[in-house]
Amino acid sequence: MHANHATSIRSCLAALLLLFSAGLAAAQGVSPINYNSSLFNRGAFNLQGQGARAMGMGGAFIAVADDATAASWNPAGLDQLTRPEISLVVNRFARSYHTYQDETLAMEPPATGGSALLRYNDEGQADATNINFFSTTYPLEIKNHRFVVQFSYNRLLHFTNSEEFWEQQNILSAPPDGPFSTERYNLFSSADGGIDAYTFSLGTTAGRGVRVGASLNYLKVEARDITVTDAASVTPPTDGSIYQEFFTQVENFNYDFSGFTFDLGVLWKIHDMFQAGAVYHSGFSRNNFDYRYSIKEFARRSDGTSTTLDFNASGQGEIHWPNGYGFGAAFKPITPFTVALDYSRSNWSEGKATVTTGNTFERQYPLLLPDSRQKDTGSLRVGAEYVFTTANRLAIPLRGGFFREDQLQNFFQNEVGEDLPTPVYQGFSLGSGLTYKFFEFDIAYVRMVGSEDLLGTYRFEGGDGVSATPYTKSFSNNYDSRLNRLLVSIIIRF
Amino acid sequence: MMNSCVRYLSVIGTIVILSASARGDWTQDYLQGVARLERKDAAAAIELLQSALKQKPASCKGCIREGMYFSDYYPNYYLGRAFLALSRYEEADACFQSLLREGLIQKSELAGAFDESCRLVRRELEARKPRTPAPEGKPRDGRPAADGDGPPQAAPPLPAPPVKVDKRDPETPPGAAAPVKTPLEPAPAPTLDAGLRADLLQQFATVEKRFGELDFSRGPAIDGALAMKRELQRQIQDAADIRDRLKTGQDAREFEESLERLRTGLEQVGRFLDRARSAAVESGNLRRHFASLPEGVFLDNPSFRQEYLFIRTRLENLQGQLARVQDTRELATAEEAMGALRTDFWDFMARAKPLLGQPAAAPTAAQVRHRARLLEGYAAYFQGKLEEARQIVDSTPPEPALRPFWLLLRGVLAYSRYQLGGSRDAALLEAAGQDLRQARQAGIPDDFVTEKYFSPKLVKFYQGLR
Repeated sequence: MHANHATSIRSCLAALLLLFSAGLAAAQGVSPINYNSSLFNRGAFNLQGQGARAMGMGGAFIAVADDATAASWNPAGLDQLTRPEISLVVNRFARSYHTYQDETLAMEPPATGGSALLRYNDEGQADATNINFFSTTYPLEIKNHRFVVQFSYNRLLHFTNSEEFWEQQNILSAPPDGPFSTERYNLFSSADGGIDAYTFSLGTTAGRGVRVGASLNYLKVEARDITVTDAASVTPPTDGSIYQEFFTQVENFNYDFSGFTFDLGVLWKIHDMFQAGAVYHSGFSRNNFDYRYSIKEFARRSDGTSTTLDFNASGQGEIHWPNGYGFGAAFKPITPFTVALDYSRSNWSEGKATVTTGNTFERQYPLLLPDSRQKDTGSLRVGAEYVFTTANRLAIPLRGGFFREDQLQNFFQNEVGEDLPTPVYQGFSLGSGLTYKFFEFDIAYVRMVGSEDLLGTYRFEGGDGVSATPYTKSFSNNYDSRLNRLLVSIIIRF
Repeated sequence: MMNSCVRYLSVIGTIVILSASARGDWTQDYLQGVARLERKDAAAAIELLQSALKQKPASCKGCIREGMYFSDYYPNYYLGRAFLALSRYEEADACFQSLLREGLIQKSELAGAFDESCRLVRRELEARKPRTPAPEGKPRDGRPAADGDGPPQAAPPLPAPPVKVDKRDPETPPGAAAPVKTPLEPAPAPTLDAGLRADLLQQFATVEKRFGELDFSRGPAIDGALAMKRELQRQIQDAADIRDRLKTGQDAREFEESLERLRTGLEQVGRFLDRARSAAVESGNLRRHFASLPEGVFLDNPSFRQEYLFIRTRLENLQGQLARVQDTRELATAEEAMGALRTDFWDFMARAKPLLGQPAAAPTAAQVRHRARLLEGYAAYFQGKLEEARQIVDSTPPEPALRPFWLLLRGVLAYSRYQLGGSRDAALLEAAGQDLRQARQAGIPDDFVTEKYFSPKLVKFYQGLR
């Protein structure tokens, strides 16, 4: 009797947990697709231009764009280059985050008076060093009209990732026998790959003080071996009921697609001291989204029975990469001093992967979450640069910037599963460098932090289809994210 | 839908307004103008540079920014060069005059090139002026009339105050240079009244200032030759590398021959370099000699002054020719120029002698001899022939009226020997100090012992004497 009663209570509590813990599926049902989302979310999703100089200015570079990284910000800026240049940008990033979720459910009499605690502690980190931009720029003249062309490679996002975390689910009490069980899952996830762009850009003069430019990008997105390894440690229930005493699971997820996009840019020199810029990034739709998913699982129960799962899925379908745009203004009161302000926006609510053959699904890209609710993202950036020059043409800049970036979606939902406002993360940057004769060296440090909280106690009246019993749910959830980047650029002018 | 339309219309409207209000980009015009000029498209360069000038007339230093690179803005300079390329000398001259008035380019990296362009324009403008026929039916190419009616026909005043004055130490003998043989015989020197002397000194001072521009010792000809030498050395190395890779004897022979030709070229450059150095030192000596004239000889004849100006013009031409050597690699040109200069210079000096021999007040024979001898001593000193100068001083007893100059010469010679001896002979320094102190007390004008004629070290030493 007790066993049956306890089992029903646990079933009821588990159902409620599943219902209200949308961010995480039941521990055993963790999908690697969730971890795909971690590649993009929480400040890591930052598909902007490259270069230590620009990032030192907080990434406010749309209306500046006057060095060899110009095309990644605004292709019209290429026209400001008068000499051939090559550039190389090396990026070192370290991203870390910590999620702590405490959710307590308390069932009310006359049902059981039982309670449960669901606790997640998720600490992840990723770091890597990579070449994320390389370009070669050449000005040329055709029929007395000047053009500047550039070929570049741009790693827009690096997927290298490594996380270790645990999740714990305690059924605290169910009268009359006290705690039933504690289930703890230790997990490790990793990933590789990234989003690369191979770009041909062209900039020229369109009129008095007006420059225009265009880029054709071959975008290749490849996420390799998004892997989650899961191992369970379970404390036997006090009521002696059958439990799952051993559990392992390995999931692997890969996908890739590619497409062509184009960028259009304009730069206006409105005044000697003021320049404005605008850029439009096109999206694309292509029918080459390809994914492969596998899960291998072994579970042994306390009664000696066991289950295995070896599941493979794959599918192909259409990917829709959204468009975006940005505006910028640069103010140069004196030649060595620049202040810049940018606003850019990406229509990520339109990002979509629709798999129509094989194991089908339709989800928003890039998060690919089952309950997709990602929003368009905006980014506001402001930065300044002052360059000290010496008589022998040595230039030493000092740069600083501040930025705010919308995230794709809030990590938490409210008590009834509704979206909370999209969080805005913010950060700063510092930069310097040295330029002498034909050689330019720049270095920048960027730090972005963000935090999301959900605190409160709510009473549910029941009748929600899972349980007719009223219950109270208390939240104490927190998420912190930190992103540190160090960029080094070398530009050589011929 | 409606909102989207409004949004896009707003963007388009903003673009139109901004475009309409956009001004011309002087930076762009300037940089493209310079680029066109570098590609020898002077006509297009003129159009662009004039457009830049219209928007921003004033030159500025470091005011053009391309990313992290800063450059200067000298539209008049490049515009002048573009006009020069099209042989529009008057317009080029006007551009250069504007630049000179701004006074900025003289302190820039372009100072040397600008100076050269100025000189080229002036020379071309002078060449276009109608020539005055030479007297006595003996025309000489480029020489001004010597009849004395009217101002000298030599170069009109060069506007640039500019560049650097050669301050080579007279203590350092010109080692590489062949000594200049002076055919100037000891000549009776005239005396002048004070007013005319002051006037002449002023004129010579002006001329001297011009001479300051002629820095042959570090001149572009030598730089050009060195660059050529480096290039040839590189070619030789390339040829040797290719030779090493060759398999067949025939090809090897061809490259050996090529290598030999290059070696010959290198030797020629080496010889040219030596000649250019000699030319530089020799022209420096000539200039020093000229510098000594105002103090050593008192001139009162307008024809003589005119000759002097003519020689100065020839020196300027020489510098132009040396510059052409840099551009064209014509090895013969430098020698030819120096030969012509030497001829003119000594011819001038020989013809100057009778002019100098017309005393306003008859000096004694001893005074005349002493003055001439002392003049030779100074000439030898200025030419770096210190031993010869010392012998002259030692063999010439001090004539009372010129004793200050005699003491001065003996003092500077002692000081020079002290310096050349490694600054170790305290007795020489003591003797130099004594002579120079006495010379000053005896009436040597302070403005004579300056860096115009003497080394900075000596001037400092002289000024420090109590």
